[in-house]
Amino acid sequence: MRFHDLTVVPVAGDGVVAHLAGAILVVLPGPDQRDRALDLVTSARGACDAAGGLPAADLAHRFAEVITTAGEGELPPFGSLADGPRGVVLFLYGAIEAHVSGATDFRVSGDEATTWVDRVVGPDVERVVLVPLGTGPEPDANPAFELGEGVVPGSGVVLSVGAEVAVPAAPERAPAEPPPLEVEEPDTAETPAAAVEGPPPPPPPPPGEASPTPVVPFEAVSLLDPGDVEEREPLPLAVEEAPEPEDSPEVAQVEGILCSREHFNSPDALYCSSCGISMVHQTHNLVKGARPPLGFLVFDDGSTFTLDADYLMGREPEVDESAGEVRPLLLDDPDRTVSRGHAELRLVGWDVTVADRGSANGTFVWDESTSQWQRLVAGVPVPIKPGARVALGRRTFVYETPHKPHGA
Amino acid sequence: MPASRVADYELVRSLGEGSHGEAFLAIPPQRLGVDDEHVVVKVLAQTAAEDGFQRVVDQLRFVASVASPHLARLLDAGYQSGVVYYATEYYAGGSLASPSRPLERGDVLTCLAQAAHAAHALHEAGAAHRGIKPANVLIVGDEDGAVNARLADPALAPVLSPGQTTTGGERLGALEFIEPGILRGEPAGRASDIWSLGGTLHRTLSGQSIYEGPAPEDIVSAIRSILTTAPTVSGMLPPGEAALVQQCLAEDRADRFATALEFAERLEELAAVT
Repeated sequence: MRFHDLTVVPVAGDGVVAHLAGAILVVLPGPDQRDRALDLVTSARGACDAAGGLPAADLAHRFAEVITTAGEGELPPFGSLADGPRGVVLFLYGAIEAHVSGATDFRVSGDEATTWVDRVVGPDVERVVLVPLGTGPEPDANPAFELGEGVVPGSGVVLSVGAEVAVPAAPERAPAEPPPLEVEEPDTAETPAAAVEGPPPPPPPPPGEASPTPVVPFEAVSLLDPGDVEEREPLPLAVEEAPEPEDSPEVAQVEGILCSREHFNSPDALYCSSCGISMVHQTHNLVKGARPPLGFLVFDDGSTFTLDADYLMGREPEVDESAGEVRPLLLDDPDRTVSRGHAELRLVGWDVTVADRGSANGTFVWDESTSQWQRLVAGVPVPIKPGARVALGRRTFVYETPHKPHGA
Repeated sequence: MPASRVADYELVRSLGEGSHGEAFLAIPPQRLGVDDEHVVVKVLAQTAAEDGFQRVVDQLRFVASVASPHLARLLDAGYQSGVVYYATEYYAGGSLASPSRPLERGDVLTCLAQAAHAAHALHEAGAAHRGIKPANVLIVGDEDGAVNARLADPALAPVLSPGQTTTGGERLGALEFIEPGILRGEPAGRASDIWSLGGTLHRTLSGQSIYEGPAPEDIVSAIRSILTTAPTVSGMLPPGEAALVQQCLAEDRADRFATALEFAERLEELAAVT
């Protein structure tokens, strides 16, 4: 969902619907809550104007403050949908419900929480309905009454999005982030709609005409009778020699040194990566051995990947399976700041290198000495040190390893 | 008219976020042919291409083919607009992380022993679970007060995304149940699952992490701290349980219980004494 091409259709009623800079707000006041409703709109407008685009986080903070300082039953139910750097954010308080449809359909209401509900809505959302609790997903909203910016009476709103259009992403406000980002031009082959089998969902039905929720095509496989399943060998006992996992690429041979307990280590190791014993007094005879995993990547969303193979990282990394040696590493990025095949990570001896693949927004390595992001030259692999931070568009990862001390 | 659906399941309410994505209580479609009023539908956070869905189905069919009365029953897997979901039986007793009623020490030992039997069945069939933690040991609600456990959610991340060891959906707290060797890139196996069973027993009985001190606030520090800190068994555990946990958490994989079955039997002995 992109905020700039939203169609905003208010539902008739005596609450307040506001279309502000980067946010939609619906307030449903009771008879003695009208003043609070208008205060809320003024407050939200202030937060949106101050944020200068992507107000979701500022708005949520403002609302949280208002809610925590208000007395019991003082605030009317309200809900908002606001643009943010991590996607569109839904915020609900009290007896108001949201119906979200698109790749996944769900309903959520403000009364599911004792305080409030806020949630980042996925990128593939096509329609959001904000209405009083119990109204259902098809309120009476006449598309002829489309609301541009402004504040009008209404007791709900239907937001829908047309074809997804790329718009420039607003720059991150954090100073430590890489320079302004371009948004990758989507093409027909990669729009989420292409993954849907069958026709696109029909447009919202005309007002007053009840219609069932369109069923998006799906395929299903029963697991009740699994049938013939390929038999596997029992797992080895820990004391037995573990065989190489079948799907792992051929393990490279490298030269290294053995600790006094015969664990294989990098020639630079000061301590054994397996048992932690000091390597200082070992005779440094180089021996050949199978390369152990060189560590792991920790991404900003908390996912980790083992460095026992090369990776192609991107929004839709296409890996030639016949090559068999590079794994695809898919980076979710609703803002499309990551290219489809963005950067490549290779294991070379005991080193890890990163190369940009000519991505639109570049690949950056954080330089501790200058406190700046260094943009990599496309196609030139650069070794990274343990502890290094790397940015691909708005996604970042840290390279960690047990094999070398930090800064080695 | 249902408020919201996944494929032909009617969603009733969210059951919260798991390591793979969000779980929902749902009304099953007739085509499944099950009598259950409710089932659980897990919607994977990670979108997948058609071949990714096929790999998930293969893995789930494999798990479904493992004969163990203590594995959560799998019902159905599906794919809709790039989103993968699967359905399992719903158990009303909650999990060891949030049981629907307080559990006695003996109940916890019984549940863990049953989870260990389920893990052993998986190991004998040729797969590691990789995701054993209190929230994945589900409890079957029973009127006569007896407890029964079901081990749920074998890890799908390695199937969907080769090389991935933890998913973004993991809360920081879930890291304490992952064997440090897995984070270092060692292959998952019996020993790493046995480590997780020990961490699960420790957390459930003591309410404490095996890592002392304040929990780090970000994932990178949390992982660094796990890789540099030896686990400590809480003094709150009775000696018998403490010894079992200690053996599960042995640094050298060969010093742990050789099989999850052995661990299960030791738990049963302990439960019988009380």
